[in-house]
This record gives sequence, structure tokens and C-alpha cells, in this order.
Amino acid sequence: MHYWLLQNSITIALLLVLAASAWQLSRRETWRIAAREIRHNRLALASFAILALYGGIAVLDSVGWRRPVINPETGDVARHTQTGAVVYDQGASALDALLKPIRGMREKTYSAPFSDRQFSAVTDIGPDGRAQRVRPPLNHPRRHLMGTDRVGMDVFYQGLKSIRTGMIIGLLTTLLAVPFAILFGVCAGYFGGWLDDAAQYLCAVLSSIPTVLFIAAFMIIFGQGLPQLCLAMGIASWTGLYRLLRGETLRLRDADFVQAATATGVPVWRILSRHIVPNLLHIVLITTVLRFSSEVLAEAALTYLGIGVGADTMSWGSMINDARTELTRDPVIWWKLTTAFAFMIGLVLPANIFADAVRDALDPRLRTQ
Amino acid sequence: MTSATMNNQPKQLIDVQDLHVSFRQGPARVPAVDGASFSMAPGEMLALVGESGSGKSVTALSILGLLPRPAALVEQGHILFHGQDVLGMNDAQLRQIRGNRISMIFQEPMTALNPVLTVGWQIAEVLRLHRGISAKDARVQAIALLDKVGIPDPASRHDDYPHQLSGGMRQRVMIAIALACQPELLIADEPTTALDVTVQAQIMDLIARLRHEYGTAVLLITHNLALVREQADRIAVMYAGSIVEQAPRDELFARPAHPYTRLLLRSLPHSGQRGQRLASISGSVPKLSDIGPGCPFAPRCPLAQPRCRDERPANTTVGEAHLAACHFATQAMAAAIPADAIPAIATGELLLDIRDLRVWFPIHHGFLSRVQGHVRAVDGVSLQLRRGETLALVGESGCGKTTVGKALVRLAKATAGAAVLSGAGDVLALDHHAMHAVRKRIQMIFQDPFSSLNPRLTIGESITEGMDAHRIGANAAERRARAEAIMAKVGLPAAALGRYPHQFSGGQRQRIGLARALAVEPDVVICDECTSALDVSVQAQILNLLKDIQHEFHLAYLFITHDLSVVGYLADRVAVMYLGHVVEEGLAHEVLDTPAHPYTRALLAAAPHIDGSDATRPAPRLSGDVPSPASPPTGCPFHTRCPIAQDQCQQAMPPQTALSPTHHCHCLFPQR
Repeated sequence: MHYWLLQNSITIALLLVLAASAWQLSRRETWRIAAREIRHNRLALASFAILALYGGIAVLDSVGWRRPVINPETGDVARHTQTGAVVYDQGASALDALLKPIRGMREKTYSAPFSDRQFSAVTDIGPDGRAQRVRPPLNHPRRHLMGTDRVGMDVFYQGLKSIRTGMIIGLLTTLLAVPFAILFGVCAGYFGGWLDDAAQYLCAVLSSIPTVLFIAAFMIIFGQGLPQLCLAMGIASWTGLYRLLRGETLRLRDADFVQAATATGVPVWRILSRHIVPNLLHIVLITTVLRFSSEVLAEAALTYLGIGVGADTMSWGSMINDARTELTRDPVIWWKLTTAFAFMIGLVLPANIFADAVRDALDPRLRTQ
Repeated sequence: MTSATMNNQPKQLIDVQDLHVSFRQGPARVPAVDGASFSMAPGEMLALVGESGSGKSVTALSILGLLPRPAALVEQGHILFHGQDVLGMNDAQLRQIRGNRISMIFQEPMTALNPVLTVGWQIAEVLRLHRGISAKDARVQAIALLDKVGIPDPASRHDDYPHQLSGGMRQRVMIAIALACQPELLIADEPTTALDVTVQAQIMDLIARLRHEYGTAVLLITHNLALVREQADRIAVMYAGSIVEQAPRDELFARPAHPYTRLLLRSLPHSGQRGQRLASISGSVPKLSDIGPGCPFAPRCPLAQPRCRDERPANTTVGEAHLAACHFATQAMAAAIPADAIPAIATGELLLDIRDLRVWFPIHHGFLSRVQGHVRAVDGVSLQLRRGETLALVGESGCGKTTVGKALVRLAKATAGAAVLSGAGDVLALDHHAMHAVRKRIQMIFQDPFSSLNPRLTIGESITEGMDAHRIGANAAERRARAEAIMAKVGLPAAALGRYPHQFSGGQRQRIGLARALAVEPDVVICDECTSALDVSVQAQILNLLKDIQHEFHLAYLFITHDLSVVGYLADRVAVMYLGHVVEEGLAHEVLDTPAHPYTRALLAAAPHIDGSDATRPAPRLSGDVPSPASPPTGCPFHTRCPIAQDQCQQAMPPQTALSPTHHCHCLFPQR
């Protein structure tokens, strides 16, 4: 049991932090009103349900365990021949355990959604001895919701397994980029002077490096993997939001209510936290969500170039990358691309709708009650 | 409308009949114009006067078919232009009229011109479109037009871009565009509201001159009754979407019949009302969706009877060509509201002593942003402010009056000089810690009631913020109680503390701004144009409130304004600023009644007066614009525009000339 806890410590820690911050926010008046407002918005509620489903799947896919490999002959736990350490299997997540029935449904190669036969025909010697082209029946006819791919793996299963990758790329990149953008943007805009100059030069330098090149170099140096990719994309992408926030802060700094607060003697940190940052939140929310979608797409492009996540990680990007060759076939094999697309839309669209609702709910001017 | 009836009124240029316009807001329809009717004869100047939200601009836009679609909807009514209904015309027919037979001038000259096209091109465009003349001829005509609207050196100005012209010049260009095709009707929508008084006077004179020259009828839309006093032939007063009174100018000013008009006229501040409370109209202009079946003014009317709330009054003829929509219009109402006196405030000890204050803003240019020069926003200002006193700092935009206020609370960095606050030392030289204690004593109220409150904080949070920062009140509950007490002082309910700024009107927000300033118990309050964004009736409320609060808390006000009528009403002493210098200072009656500096005289001459005494203006109007403070003229800053300037005025800044122990000015030739 303790093994299980150890292996999932990061996930558990993240969940605890999330729960703690949600509890903190729920004690604040503004957010309580916002939550009430959102509860009256059906579209936002539906979006939230879909997002929760995606989130749940991602969490299930992040909680996993490894079992010791059992020597099939002796029935004992296998040990390393030299070190004597226990050998574990590849590991499986909770989602894998749930999806075991789908995962096991392997075919030989392509099959269309809900088909009972293979997509491509094979030459077969009929009972009359004559060679004929037939489409052999599937092992699991009419069981593949979105068909199977070249190696006969269920496409719907791949889509589900890619949710975690997509969520991690979207969230981790955003979590890395947004605090940087807010910190630099607000400080540069509010204090100005050499701080502004320094931030502007840093930003100009970063923007002048082609993003793809930067990420490629980063991945070559630090190795290919999901955390490296997120870090590289986070570093490369905070400048856009930074510029927006700096500009808006410059405008807010001269707004009468900020001047009034300064003239009253309100400390600087309070001006920043009560007057500036809350009035930037709408920009942060919208940009974040728009970026969330573009980063999921960027992952696809990077995978296409061979610098995305590793080949052993399933992602919508790698699915789209595979679909590249499939789309040139005749008749077209459309289901892999469609599945990746549908899953992405399913995440990005509710995220946009929900972020809009949150932004409106946080703005006292737009509240309905 | 049949052709027979049309022929019965051949004289009418435009005839608006029972116009109803509403705006879609979600599923609801909010009315904006609610049965407006008026007509204009050719060559006539009709002033449509009303406060914000009265529907005057929407009425004007409907005449040109410029209502935003599909948000706006003309519910019913007709607008007949030469007997043809404009509302029934298609876009092609409207384009034939717009800019050609009816043209329009907008309020904001800064945004009404296209910044990437030369002004000459923009004038020529209209001519080529409607007259079909060649580009060469259009250029000649455009230059002639620029000359006609009084732009110096029109041939070279023709190729200037809008940003190279001042606000007044741009409004002249707008007028040139509007008059290019010699239209029969010119609609001027608040044409001078964004301009300074001296420029406003120039523009109004220009409109009057061109109107007679071309025989153009002018529909002047404004909130400023005093402006209308000078030039309009007839006046229509609009309130909550309908016209409540219309009459020839002199008739209206002599015998206003509708209670709204009467109160509006009496709520205009002027020096004759010193020591009196202004007649203010309670509340603010209502939303049209909230108006019941009765008279729209009934909820604010001091004379309202039960009948007024149930029955919409029809137009009653009060005099010759004088209509008023009031049930009791014909009854005498002279003794409507008695004016009660405000007790005089004794001035106390010297609170703030400003000595030779200078605020220069560096101009950065070129490589490594080296300082290439300075904008001398404030260039040696010395003022004294006593407890319980109101000192008005008057001047046109760009004269540095706001910068003086900002320097005193260190929102702008002073370059030189001192401002000694009694018991605290020089405010401009204090360190961060000592300054924090002083911030409590000097507070500021801002011009724009909409941007001066954080939209995301409740009123309570905004007001208690200062108390938090200065540890006034032992705990949150005590601060809350104090905030409630202050809200009662400024005339707002305690429940307002839990609401957000957008739920209040402009006047209410200005009350909140005052409450926020009062919360930290200041000695000095700097009012930066704090009534200029408000409607006349609301401005009177706020001015009364400022007086009451000053009396109760024995405050000193530094009242920064461009509005001389407010100065005369509110101020004890007046300092007139021009280009960073105080050119004249003295007791209010001294400066306003016996101005010595030619600039003060010109400023007073340019300000429209409600009492109609403008026939004998003491000084000619100023020409030109304020020079740039980045390169001020040598010697007396005013010599470039001064009608009595001599050669020695260019040599050096004139020394201070004392005219009385309390009245002095900086002029070599003071007029007595």
C-alpha cells in the first residue's frame, strides 16, 4: 500500500493544493457570488461538467501503480540478477484498469468505426481454390466505437489516453507562463523605469528566437518528455500575455481610482493586489484559455516535427501526426483525425465557454442579480 | 400624412412629429425618445437643450438616419424634410441628403476626423462626392473653405494631418466639412463641449457668422443653457425623451413655464448667488423604462400633484409660440422654492503655503532617450490656502492647474519649490514615511465619476480602504460604522456600501468620491473639475453638498476648474492660471467683477452668461490657441494672444502688481 502512495505522491500533492485553494476561494465573498452566478448559467454548468469529466479521466490516468513481475515458472517475485532488486512491470494507471476491456480488443490493422470487417482486403484462397480479395472479419466486430488504427489498436481508447497529455500540456504550460506574465507585466507596467526596460529587453530577446527552434533546442538539451515540453513551451509563450498585461497596467496606473488610492496612502502592494490585478483578470482568463487550446495544437505541430512528446506517450498531436499519412490514402481513413479533433474540441470549447462565464461572473457590472 | 397637409406648411424645413425611438437591450426595449415633436423654419437656429440621457442626441441621429441598427428602432412618428419622410428613405436616398442638404458636427473633434488623411482631402471628399467636381477644383474650394472658417494660412494647412491641429482648429475643419455643400440644415451636437471657453466662444461666433452667410438652419444640441442664451432663435427643452417646453429665446428666459425649465435656470451657479443655496433638482434624470403613465418630471417636481403622476400632460400654449407640457403651466409659479442662505464660513489659520512650485516634465527623444527639453506644466506658482476657505484655480486646459493639484499629493513630481503644510513641513520634500501621514490630510476628488472608483470593489471597500491604510477606527466594525456615518453626511443610504460603482449615477458617484476623501478626516480637499462631468441639475446638488461639508468639517478646498460660473458661486478667492503661471489672484468678487489682467478679462468675456448681459462685453474675444508649454513664449506667457501687448511684454515676465491688499496680477498694463 505504501508503494502506491509513494508512486502517486505528485498527483496527490497536486490534488491537495487544488482542494486547498478551492476552499480558500470559496471563503471569499467575490468568488462565492461568482459561483452562485455560474450556477444559474446552464451552458456554463454543462461546460463545467464536461471539463470535470476530462479532469476526472486525467486524474484517473495519473494515478497508477506497478506490480512486481511474477516469474511464471516459479511463481516467485522476479529479482534483478545482479542487484537483487524487485523487478516491476511497466505499470498501469487506474484508467488502464478501467479500460482493460477496450485495450485488449486488438485487431490486425485498420477497421472503420462499428465495422465488422477489416478495412483493407487481403488475398485469400477460396474453397474453390481460386484467389480472391476478401475483407476478413474482425476479432471484435462492431465493438470499436471509432475504429482501429494501422496496428489494430482501438482509436477511441487512444483518444481517452491522450486526455491526460493534453490536460498536462495545457495546464502545466499555463501554470508556468501566467505567473511569470503577471509578475513581469504588472511590475513593468506599474513601476516603469529600469524594471520596465529590463522586462522589455528580456521579452524582446525571447520573442526574437523562433519558438519551434527554441523548443527543439530545449528538448535536445534536456531530453524529450512531457515535463521538458511544458517547460519549454511555458518559457516561450509568456511574452504575449506579458505585453497585454503591461499595456493594461500602464493604463490602469493612471486611472483615477488608482491615483485616488495612491493619494489616500494605500500601500503599493495593496494597490497592486486590489486595484490592478483584479482589473486584469479578464485578460488573464481569456488569454489563458485561448492559449490552452493553441498549446494543445502546438503539441501536434511539434510532434509532427519529431520534437513533441516521446513516441511512447499517446497524445492528440501524435494521433494527428499519424493521420497525416492516412489522409492521403484512397479511400481516406478519416477516423483517427476525427477522433483526435473531437476530443480536442470537447476540451477546448467547454473551456472557452466556462472561462467566459467565470469572467462575466467576476465582473460586478455584468452580474444579473 | 397627405400631400395636402404638406402643402399647408410650406415654410417648414424640417418637421419632427411624435417621434418614438427605443433601443433593444436583451429581450427588452428601452425607450430613448418618447414622443418628441418640433419643427424648424429655413435659416432658423433651434437649440435642443437637455441633460444627459434626455434623448436629444438620439433625436438628432434619427434625422440623418444614423441610428445604430439593429439596436435602435423607430417605433412611430415622422421626420419630414421638405415634406418628405426621412424615416422611410432607403440608404441611397439618405446618402443624397447626408453631408449635402443636412450635415452634422460632432462633439469630439479629436476623433471625428480621420487621422491618416489630410484635412484638405477630407473636405474635398465631400465636395467630390456631392458636387462631382475635379480634384483640382476641390482643392481650391477646400482652401477657400478653410479660410472661411478662420484657419490661418489655409493653403499650407490644407495638407496638414488632424494631429497637427489643435482641438479648436479641428472643430473649425469639421465645420468646413459640414458646410462644404452649403446644406440647408446643420446639426451641431454639443459642438463646443470638448473645447475651452475662449475657443468655445470663437466656434459659436463662427457658427453664427456662417449661418447668416449661407442661410443655413442650425439645430444646436447642447446641455449648456448659457451657450444657447446668445445665439439661438428658439429653444426646445428636452427631458426624458420628450420636449417639455419650447419657446422663442427671450420668451423662454423671461417667462419659463415648465417647472423643469425654471429649476434648470435657477440651478445654474453664478456669482449673484454667493451665500445662497442653489436651487437643485432632487434625484437624477430617470431611465425612460422607469417612467409611469404620468408626467416624466413628476417624481422630481416640487410642485407635482397627484394628477401629474397619472396623466401625461399635453402641450399647453402659454404665450406666443410658447408651448409647455405641464398641467399647471399657465399658473404662476414664481415663488416655487425659496432660496435658503448658507452660513458664511470664517477662514482660519494658514494651512498650505505653496511657494514657487515648478513641475517640469522631461521630453525624451532620440538615442538612449536623452532629455531634449521640458514641458513646463507648472512654472513658478505661489498660493496660500487657509482653513475653511475655497481657493479656485481657474484656467483653460493645458494651463497646469491639474498638475498643481497632483503635485500637492505627489502624484506628479515637483521639480522645484515648496508646499508647506502647517505642522508637517514641506510636503514636496517629505520622505516616504512622513508623506504617508500627510496623505491623510490632503485628499483629492477627481473629475470623472466613472473612472475614479474601482469597478470591482464595493463602495464600502473603497471608502474603508483609506481608513485601513491610516489605522482610523479600531476594527472593521468600527470602520464600517464610520463609513455609514459618512455616507449619511453625503446623502446616500448605508445600504449603498454593499453595492458596486456601476449601480450609481454620475452624481451619486461624485458623492461617493467625496465620502472616500472625507473618510480619512482631511484638512485640505483638492477638487479637480469635480462637477464638470455632471448635468446642470446634479452639479447644483454637488455644489450645495460641497458647501455644507466645508461648513461642517471646516475644510479648505482647492477647487480646480475651467468653469467661471461655478467659481463665482463657490470660491472665496480666485487664482487664474495661464501656461503654468498664476496671472491674477484675488478675492472672488475682485477678480470676477474688476478683472485686471487681459487674460482674465478675455476669459470672463468668453464665458457664456445666463443673465443676458453679454451685449456689453468688456473685452474682445481671444484669437488663436494656447501656445505649447514645451516652448513657452519669452517674457509674459500671454503676449502672443494679448490684445494690448507691447514690445516690452516679450522681454521678461511682468512683476507682481498689487491692486489691493488681496488682489494682484502679473501684467505691465493692468486695467482698473
